[in-house]
Amino acid sequence: MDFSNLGLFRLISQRMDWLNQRQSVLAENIANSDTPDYRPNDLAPFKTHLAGAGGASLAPTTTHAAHLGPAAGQGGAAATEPQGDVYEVSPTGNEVVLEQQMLRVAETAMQHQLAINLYRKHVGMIRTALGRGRG
Amino acid sequence: MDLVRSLEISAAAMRAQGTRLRVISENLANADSTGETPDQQPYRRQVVTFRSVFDRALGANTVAVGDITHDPSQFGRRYDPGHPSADAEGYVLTPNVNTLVEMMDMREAQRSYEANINAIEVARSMITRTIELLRI
Repeated sequence: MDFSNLGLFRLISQRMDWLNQRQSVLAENIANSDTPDYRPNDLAPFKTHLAGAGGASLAPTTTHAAHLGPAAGQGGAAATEPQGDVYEVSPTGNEVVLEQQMLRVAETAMQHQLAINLYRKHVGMIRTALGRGRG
Repeated sequence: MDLVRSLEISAAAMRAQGTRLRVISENLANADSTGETPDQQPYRRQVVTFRSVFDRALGANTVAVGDITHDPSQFGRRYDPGHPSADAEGYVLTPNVNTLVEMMDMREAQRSYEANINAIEVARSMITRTIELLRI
């Protein structure tokens, strides 16, 4: 059985993919919290990432059998955009506010945990259906 | 993998903050280093600059220490005629290091370092939780 054919599993894997990318973007912001003229970035909302992953996004055409296509169930890289709501700009032109970034990191970690717990529960439900004890 | 990438980004930033801290300690250590002869200049304060660089291998903007430049501000003057580096009027040039400024800079470096450690811990726990999915 291919788990990626189940809607919820596919959604969770896309969600986790998005959260991983967001964590990486936030790490970039925190790393550059003292760089002059640095403007923080954030990912485009998950909703737009999901809409793009559904097949509406630009995908390279496979014109030869040897071409590698994107792996199934992967949405690819989500779009990065400059962060819209900046609290303050430091005299050096840096717009990163550490508190705001830490808040986003915590938010990402929480949502990641939620996705993982949902995954566990879903596997547990399948196990129950299979009749191999509780999940 | 994106999470490993974020670990590397934070590690690069911690390295940069470490260099900053090293320069601050150099400044603090030399806060009283005057010249030995009247025509010798005292210690000049060093300043670290950061810049954002695009790491091709990582595919992300990491931070790197740019040039370590010298603070061009004026030296202090102290009246001490007995000092070996005192000029004809009895004044000694002292380094342009302000200990309070250095302390504040140190605090800021520490705060940024901690923020990066925090980001690493979060990324690490996310990786661990994902790996734990194998056990269900």
